[in-house]
Amino acid sequence: MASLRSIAEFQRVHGALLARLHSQASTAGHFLAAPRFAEAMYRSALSHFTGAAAPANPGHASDGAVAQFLESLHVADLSLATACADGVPEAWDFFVAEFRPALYTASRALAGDAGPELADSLYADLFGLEVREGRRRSLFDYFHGRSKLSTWLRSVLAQRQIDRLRAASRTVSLDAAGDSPQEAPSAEASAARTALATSATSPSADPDRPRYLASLQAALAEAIKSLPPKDRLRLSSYYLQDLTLAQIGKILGEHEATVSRKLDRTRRDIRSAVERQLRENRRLSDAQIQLCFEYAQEEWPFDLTRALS
Amino acid sequence: MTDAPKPDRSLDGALSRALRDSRDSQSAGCPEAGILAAFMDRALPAAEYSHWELHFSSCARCQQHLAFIARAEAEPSPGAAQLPIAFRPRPWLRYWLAPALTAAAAVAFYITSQTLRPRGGPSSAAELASRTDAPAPPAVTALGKSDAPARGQMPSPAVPAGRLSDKVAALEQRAKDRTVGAERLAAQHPVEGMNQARALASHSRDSAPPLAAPPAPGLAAVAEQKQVAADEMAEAAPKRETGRVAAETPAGAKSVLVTEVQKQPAAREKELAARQESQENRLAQTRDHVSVPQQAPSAPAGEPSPEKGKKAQAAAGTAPDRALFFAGRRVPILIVPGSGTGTSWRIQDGRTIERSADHGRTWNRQPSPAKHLLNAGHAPSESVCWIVGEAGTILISVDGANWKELPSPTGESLIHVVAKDASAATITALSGKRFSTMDSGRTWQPL
Repeated sequence: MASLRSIAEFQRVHGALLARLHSQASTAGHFLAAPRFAEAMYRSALSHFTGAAAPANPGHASDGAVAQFLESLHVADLSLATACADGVPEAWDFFVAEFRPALYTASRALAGDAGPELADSLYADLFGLEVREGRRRSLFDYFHGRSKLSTWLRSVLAQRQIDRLRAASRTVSLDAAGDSPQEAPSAEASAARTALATSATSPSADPDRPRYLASLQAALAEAIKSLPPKDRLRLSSYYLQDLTLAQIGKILGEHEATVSRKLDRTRRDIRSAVERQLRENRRLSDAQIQLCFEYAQEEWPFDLTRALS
Repeated sequence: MTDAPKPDRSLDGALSRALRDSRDSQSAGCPEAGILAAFMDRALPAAEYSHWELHFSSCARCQQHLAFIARAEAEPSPGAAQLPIAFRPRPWLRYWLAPALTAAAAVAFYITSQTLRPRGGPSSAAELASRTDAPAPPAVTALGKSDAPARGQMPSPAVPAGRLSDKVAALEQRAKDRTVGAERLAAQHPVEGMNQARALASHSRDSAPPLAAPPAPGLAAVAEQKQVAADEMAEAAPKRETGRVAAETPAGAKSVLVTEVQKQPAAREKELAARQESQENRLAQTRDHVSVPQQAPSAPAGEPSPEKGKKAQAAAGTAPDRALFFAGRRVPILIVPGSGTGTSWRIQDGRTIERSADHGRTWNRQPSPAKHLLNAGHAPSESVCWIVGEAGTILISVDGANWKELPSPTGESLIHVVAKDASAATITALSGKRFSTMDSGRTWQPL
């Protein structure tokens, strides 16, 4: 991490690379002088290798790793964001022309009629209305060029909208917020609670119904836990976030046909794993396993219109 | 669009429930917005990507964040949301679709004409009907001159001269081909093709000229058909501005028909260039002749008479069938404020502004100062509405009832407007130029 000790050392070690990237970044406009551009790059590298995200980066911060990191940055967007944070008028003109419409489009998609208000609040923070220690603080300072600027803006908007929704939900009674993740219990506890509730209200006369449901829930939890992360994320996006196949594909970098195929395959795998577990660990017969699924269908009806859309 | 996986009714509900329970609701270790953005962009190194993927797969908060980012990317723009549901012709569409459709119609009509053209025999079908044993005349060329070099000359006559029965059979077959060609033309081109088909049908149905002697039944039908077609084309030719004067004889008229068809591509290019110079004026002129968009251009339904068709064509001046076609396709442009109180505007026929205060059940027409076609609008509130159109037209209503035209920063076609209130708006021209005002349109700043 020798090159990150100081900005001077950083420029000395990576001077040639910085010059090339600065030239590359200038294709969108000469918004930043080379020294300021080097500072922005240094800030990004420092954030990546020593900041909060550092634990996620197991690689050693050698000079080569730093150079590789610098190469991976969206330098044109980083240059534009830094220039906007510095208040360069040309950069703001470019930003307004290129990004502002998309910003308002995204905010309207997220917040509907409140979209313009959401975008305006973000716009104000991007402009840097807040002054700390005599310096105007712009939200652009938090952009490190690791993604496209447009994606980062959407991410920030999404974060703000989530925060707004959560803040609004705090004013709602806890009963109404029963679906909030804060109260998500463990799978076993949930299954047991469901079984108890079911036994009290179910019209079925089968005394084994609560046991079947609890067994099924436990087996499902095991099967989900054993899934690869990507499959689990795909399933959650589909079943819990109500995303379309195309939107899931955008998250995971897959074509929507691939998403559909893999969802189907994962669900078949889960079913076979659950059946195997119920048969081998719980010693249930095929008829009892069938009964488990029938009780589950009664207990947790799935929105078929959602699945068929 | 890819179909969603088929539902598994016995599993989906329980799986959804188990997935919800399996997530970690704690937000400890959640990445900042930049990492999520980089994850979406697939800009992270493999090891880091895997690390965050594992986190996202069990973190409810991050899953929601990713879902919101995906939704923000996938939703249409607010301008697009204001567009009507049905198809609405757009300027860029007019540029290539109009020539393409008319070229296709021209090719289809050319093929039909080639099929119908006599390959040997008298130039007039009536003349043919009156002659029983005339020798076969020279073949008629594409230009209608028997001695001219043939550009689209057909192969040698299939009917031997002097055998009337064979000629009758051949002409009947051609008449049948003509009907099939007209149907094909109608199928390929909804409006123009139908007009041509109607014209052809009317010729054979209603406009039989009297013949001196009763010919054979099949021959008479063909003779009627060709005579009427020739007469009408001889009259219509000067108005079509094809650069060729109609000849006196029916054969000459037919040559005009063929020549015009062959000149269609060139005329199309010429018209395209002219439209680029004054597209708006032409469409406005066209629209002046058509009050009801669904009205057929030159041969409306229920008016099979050639005379009426000619009158309609004469009234249309240069007979801009293509423009009429698109004018007929223009559907109302809906402008709905975000307040959702039932107030909305619509632009009928590109000119008429109407307002509804009862969720579109009833509409009241509002006087408009617009001199040009209107393309788009935006209503930031129930009383404020901005509308833009051709030739830099910008209209605003600040009281929901009265409209005034604002000075425009450009003479270009304006295709989009987004307004914040009665004073702030941004307009977009066809060229992509954008202008913004903060003082109710008194001054405009380019963006």
